[in-house]
Amino acid sequence: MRSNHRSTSLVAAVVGAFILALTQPPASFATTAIAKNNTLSISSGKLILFASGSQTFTNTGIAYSTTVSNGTVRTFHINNSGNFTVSRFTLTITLPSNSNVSAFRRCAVGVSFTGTNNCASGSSTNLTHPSTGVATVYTLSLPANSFYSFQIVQNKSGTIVVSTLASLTYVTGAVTHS
Amino acid sequence: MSPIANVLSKSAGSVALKVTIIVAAAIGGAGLVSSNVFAALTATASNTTGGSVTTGTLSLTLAPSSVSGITGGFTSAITAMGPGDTVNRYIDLTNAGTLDGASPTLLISTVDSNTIVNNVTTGLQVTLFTCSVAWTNTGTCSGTTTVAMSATSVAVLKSGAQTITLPTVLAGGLNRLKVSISLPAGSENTINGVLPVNTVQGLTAALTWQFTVTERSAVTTNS
Repeated sequence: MRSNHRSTSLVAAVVGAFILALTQPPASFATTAIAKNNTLSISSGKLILFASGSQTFTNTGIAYSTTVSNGTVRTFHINNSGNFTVSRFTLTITLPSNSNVSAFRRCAVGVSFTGTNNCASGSSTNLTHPSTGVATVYTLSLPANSFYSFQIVQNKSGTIVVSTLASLTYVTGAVTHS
Repeated sequence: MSPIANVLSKSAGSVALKVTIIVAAAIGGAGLVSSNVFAALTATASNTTGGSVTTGTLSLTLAPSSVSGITGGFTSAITAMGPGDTVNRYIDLTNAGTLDGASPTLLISTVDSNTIVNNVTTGLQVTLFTCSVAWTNTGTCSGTTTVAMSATSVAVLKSGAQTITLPTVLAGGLNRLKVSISLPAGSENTINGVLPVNTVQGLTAALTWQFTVTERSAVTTNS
């Protein structure tokens, strides 16, 4: 009997609450309006500078290493296969022990050596001789998808290694409106 | 039948008759009462016309600027952005509804997860400017310029809606936005063609820009 009363009370409470909920004024809810685009794709560019024997824009991802002989000219290239123009870059050239450099030169940007001290166009520019293993900054503007061709002559046989370093510090930002 | 039995029989018949009469009277009375209820008089007054009630609308639209040269909006992809670069895009944000808005916000969402959208410092930054007249295609404003949102990283903008300050959120109001998207200048070094760890370079993110306004506060009018 008591159980029946409880059940009855419970049902009455639920029904009462339901009716109360239905008869209440709508709760305050904020109407919002949204405007949105589909997607805007944003991508960042890359600063890619590397050394190679033959000119290429395929990034090797490693320092350029090759053999050198006493008095023989060695040609290598510094390639910019990234998206940015750099205003300077650093080369660290490691030479055979006790090597003395007798010539170090380059052609204009985008011009290769076609022979000893012979640029495909224009004349070569002599550069300060590098000290082995010392990082040397070259203040040369090198646009994206371009290169410099270098020649070096020294007096030892062994291995030459050319490492590159390029910094975003020397990439100039731009403001565009589009 | 004996005289006594005859009297009792009449008496019993009288009682039955009385009961019958009482019941009939009760039913008849109830009928009269109920018929009186249904017969109650009513009076009604109603208007004829002019009682129309319409609800307002709250609608926000965005569209790229129609000024020649700066119509990229949020549609044309931005490519090969470099540290230190700023790309300005021009958006017309309009309350196209009939209700005034309030509390405008901006939220960015993306499914991409990389440094340019996750890093508060080195990742993309967004600044919003407004101009009281149309922006020129060189990004200048001949009217009044205001900052709707100071530089805020995409990392923050995608973590939750950020409040922005618009010149107008009124019905029909137009906001001419310059959305400046910047990649902070950096000092990353590329060694032998290899990008550093956690670089901001060579990354892509597809961003959805969501502007929101809420309905202005409800009002009670007497008219």
